Amino acid sequence: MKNRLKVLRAGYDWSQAELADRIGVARGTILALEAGKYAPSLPLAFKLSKLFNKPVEEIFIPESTD
Amino acid sequence: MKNTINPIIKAGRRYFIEMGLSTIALTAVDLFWIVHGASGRWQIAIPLLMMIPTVCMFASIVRFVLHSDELFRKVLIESFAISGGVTALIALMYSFLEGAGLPKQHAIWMYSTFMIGSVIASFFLMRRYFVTSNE
Repeated sequence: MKNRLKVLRAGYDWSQAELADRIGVARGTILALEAGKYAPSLPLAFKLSKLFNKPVEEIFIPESTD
Repeated sequence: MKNTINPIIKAGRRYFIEMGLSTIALTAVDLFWIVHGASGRWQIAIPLLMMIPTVCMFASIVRFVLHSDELFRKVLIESFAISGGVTALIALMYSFLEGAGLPKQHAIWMYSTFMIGSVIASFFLMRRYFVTSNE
């Protein structure tokens, strides 16, 4: 699954560690999410949606194989 | 920026402290057993005494898994599953070989195999999720 996390995070000028702290996950999880290697759970996706004030579908873009 | 410690880092620190203390306790009892030996009722009591730090180790692993974030929990549980499967396969294979005449082994090797297997499996799983290529 693709996502716009890196772009959104850069918009707020947050580091990966800062974003991780804000949503209560490890920095490695942000790394994996941004690299598209991990699709988050619904609660985590909604946390990110609330944090960036954007709908989930604007942050996460499913690929044809998803 | 919130001035709080990341809960995952907090859980990790707690895990290492608890595991360290349990390991020290286990080593102390083990050393006592090796140096002084055990006879009579102590022959049973000391091995059972060693179960106290072992249970504490198990509890700290469970606590760490429960307090990890979702990706780390996934990695840990997958590594336990892979390691459990590999250990079961090796145990089954060796039980067949014991039937063919190989010497009987202490069951403790299964614990070591499981722990080493889960460390190796988590290393490869972490590489899969956390190592990014410079595309």
